[in-house]
Amino acid sequence: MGNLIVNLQLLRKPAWLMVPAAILLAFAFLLPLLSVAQMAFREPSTIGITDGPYTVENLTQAVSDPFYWGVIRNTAVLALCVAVATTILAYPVALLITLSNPRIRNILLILSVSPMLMSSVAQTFGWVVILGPRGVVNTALSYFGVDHTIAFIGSMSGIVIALTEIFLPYAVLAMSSGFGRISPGLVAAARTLGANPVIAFFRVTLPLSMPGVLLSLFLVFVISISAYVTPQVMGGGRVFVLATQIYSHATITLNWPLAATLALLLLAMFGLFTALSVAARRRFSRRGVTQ
Amino acid sequence: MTVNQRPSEASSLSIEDLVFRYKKADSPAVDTISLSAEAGQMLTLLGPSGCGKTTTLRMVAGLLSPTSGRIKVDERDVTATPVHKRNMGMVFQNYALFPHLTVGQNVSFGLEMKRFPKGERVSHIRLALERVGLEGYIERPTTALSGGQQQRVALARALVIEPSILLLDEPLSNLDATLRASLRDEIRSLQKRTGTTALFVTHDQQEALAVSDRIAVMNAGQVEQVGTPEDIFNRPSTRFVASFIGQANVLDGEIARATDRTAFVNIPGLGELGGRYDTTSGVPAVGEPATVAIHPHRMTLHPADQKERGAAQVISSVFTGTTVQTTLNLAGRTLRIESLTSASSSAPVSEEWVRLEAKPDDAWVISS
Amino acid sequence: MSKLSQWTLWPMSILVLLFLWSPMGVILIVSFDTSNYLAFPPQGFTWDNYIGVFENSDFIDAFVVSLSAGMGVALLATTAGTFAALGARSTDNRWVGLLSTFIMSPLLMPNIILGLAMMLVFARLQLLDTITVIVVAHTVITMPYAFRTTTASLQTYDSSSEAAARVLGASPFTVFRRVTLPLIRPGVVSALVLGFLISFDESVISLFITGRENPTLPVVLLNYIEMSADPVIAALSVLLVLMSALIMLLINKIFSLRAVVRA
Ligand SMILES: Nc1ncnc2c1ncn2[C@@H]1O[C@H](COP(=O)(O)OP(=O)(O)O)[C@@H](O)[C@H]1O
Ligand SMILES: [Mg+2]
Repeated sequence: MGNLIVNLQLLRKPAWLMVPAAILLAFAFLLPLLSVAQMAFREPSTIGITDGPYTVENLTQAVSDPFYWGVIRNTAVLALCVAVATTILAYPVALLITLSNPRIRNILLILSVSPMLMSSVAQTFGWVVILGPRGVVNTALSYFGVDHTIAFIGSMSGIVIALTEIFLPYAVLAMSSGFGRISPGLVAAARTLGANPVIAFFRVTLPLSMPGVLLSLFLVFVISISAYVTPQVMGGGRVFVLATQIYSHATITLNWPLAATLALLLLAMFGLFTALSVAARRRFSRRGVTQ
Repeated sequence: MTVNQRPSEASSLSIEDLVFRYKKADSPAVDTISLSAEAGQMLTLLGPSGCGKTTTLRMVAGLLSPTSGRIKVDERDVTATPVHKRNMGMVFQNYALFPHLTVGQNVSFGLEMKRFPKGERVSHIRLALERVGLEGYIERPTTALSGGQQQRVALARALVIEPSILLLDEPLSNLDATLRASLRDEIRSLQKRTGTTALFVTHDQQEALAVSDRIAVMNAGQVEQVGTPEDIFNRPSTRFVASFIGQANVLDGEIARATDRTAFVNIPGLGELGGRYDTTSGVPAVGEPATVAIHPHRMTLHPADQKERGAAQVISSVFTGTTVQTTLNLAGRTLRIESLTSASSSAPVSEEWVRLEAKPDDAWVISS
Repeated sequence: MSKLSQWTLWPMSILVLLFLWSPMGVILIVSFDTSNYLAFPPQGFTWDNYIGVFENSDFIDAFVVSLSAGMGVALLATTAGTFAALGARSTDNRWVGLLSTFIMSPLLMPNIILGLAMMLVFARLQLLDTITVIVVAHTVITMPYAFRTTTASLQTYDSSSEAAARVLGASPFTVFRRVTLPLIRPGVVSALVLGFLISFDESVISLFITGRENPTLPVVLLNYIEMSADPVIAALSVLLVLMSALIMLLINKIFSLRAVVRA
């Protein structure tokens, strides 16, 4: 009888329904991640699968070799440029979305967010066509009499431009979700108190938009440091970031321990900035209340 | 320097033939209204929601530019003056306090815009907060205040800049009933004390009657009547005003006869009902259509026989303590009567037949 | 909105949106070009590139792989995610919070790391380059969305409608079939669509776990872009984007776009 009641309780509150999902993740998510951690501490190899002895050689090599410092710096600089550029470009759009009536807001939101659900490979290809040696920009330049082609592909600039466009939807979403406290009524209040439009923007709208701006900066930064397709294609094999190095060690040199080590480094960067963003947001929202 | 007493500096406001049409709207939201408020007066715009009160107020503030018409402050045309140069204090329905600033910083905002030196600002802020009873709150974040406190901050923020006109857009509608009444009286006394000319917007007639020097009753973008609270309540000039204010019973008929003080209106199914009328427009002609307006508490009920002329049947009667509210059916019309209760009398019973009585002094005849 | 914001925000936003849509526009234009290398401006107009897409067996094979994998992912991720969302309602169980976080956590993991990680494990199991492994890998990254959309639609009604059905005499199974399921249908349907869409577009993990036998369409596309970019690739890209767009329109009809992509 007691057992029956317990069983009924289980049926009513079926927490065990979460188990299949959890098992799948344990096998295809947790286990693989743990094996990355394990692989990172094996001796370097060139044969893919390896059960070599454990060592910290990869890690010391990765952090002492100036080449990898350069790779890490490239990764950070790239992510920073993309984060700043997307945030600046997305700002007016997100503000317009916040201030518009529901109908316009919906249209703007669909226009600015839908590219997010479209293949990033296809979008990157679009940038190859625009920025390539015989692409839209260089053709236009030569039409205006500039006779040397700008090498966007194979340089940081091309990657930054393409990634800025590809991550723009994320910035718009992050910012408009962080713009909750902005309202036309507050601007109107500032105006009746004697603020001209420019002052009202700098004293009211801009401070209130800071949480959204920070959210966007951090979000785009962390997704940029792990971008692979665009740096690979737009970098033309000449710009090295952590993601491209991980891929080439995993599939070309077959030095899996090194690939795993670089993955750990990337993960560390990722974790560091995610933690920073959480801290900054907490700090910021607290200051927003007490200041 | 004190900002307390300055009736002599108060400004007058006048609005002339103001029209506003929203983009893509069929009819204007505000349709040719003219109003004026003398220096130091509280003028109230009263009307049902959607009648154009906020639109009018925002035009006065400069947040909307009128389609046509003029706004004058102290006889000076300000229609083309941008918002930030109008020096009008505005209190918004949802307070519109800056959430990133403290109470003190909110109040300080307008003073900073006017480039008050820092030292002077502090004393002004303190005085303004003191007047709304928030002395100790200067460092508080506005997000940690109750609705009533937030509205007081909004009031202090609007008054501290010594506005030529104080604009209040339904400042009490987001508060609960008890707070609403007390803050209402506070706003009125503060406005009187500072001698500020004010334009108050509300859809609540009780509120309007309580705070105003003069009331403008609006309907569908137009002003129906302007007058003192007594004028509006006792002597409505249109059928709309009569039915909107105090939920008076309005009975249509035609003039049967008229003396120089009283007009008698023949109401189909009821008989003649007498009432005062607006003597400035002359004695109404016999046979002219007219409406009698009588407030529910100005009629009395007496037992009657069903066959009697003018007999009405009780539909329901609700005992509320101080009064009994009776709903009657009089020849197909529904009337409301409110009578004071006493310990000895009993409330009318449903289906009972009654006769209505109203003294001509208590009724008002609107002839069209 | 004030005049100033009208006159500054609109022009800026329109420029930004043009920038955002420029790669799409350019691909579309190039996909009709008659020349057989990539150049701008186009030399002429033709539909041949689109015909070329369907004549390329690499593309067709990869399309079949992506299509089968996508459908498998949609089914698996939605089933597991929906069950998990139903289970997550028992908030008095102390494991539920932890498990919910666990199910959402793949969203926080960069695909480049996931790709490497899965390659390490599935290489040992000799499962690489099979449709099964694509399905499993993509299920990991799409299950969080399925969990979230279903949870969201579970939250839009409170469990009192289920209680009401019980009071009216329905058995637990009947309650699930007649009350719960219809109520969460929008969430489940968008989980299906989203699962397919994400799997169909995913490239980074697929690069690690597929090879010559069963490459997905984005992997083939990427290889072609790096080796021989021509207008046929543009046509293929247009078709890919068009397919996503159509599916997205569908999902927007069923479930607000915002609720789905909200991070
Ligand atoms: N931004 C707007 N666009 C179009 N019509 C509006 C707008 N704001 C108000 N209206 C319309 O104008 C009329 C008057 O509105 P409002 O002045 O806000 O009324 P009130 O304050 O008296 O409730 C209403 O019919 C309302 O629907
Ligand atoms: Mg209003």
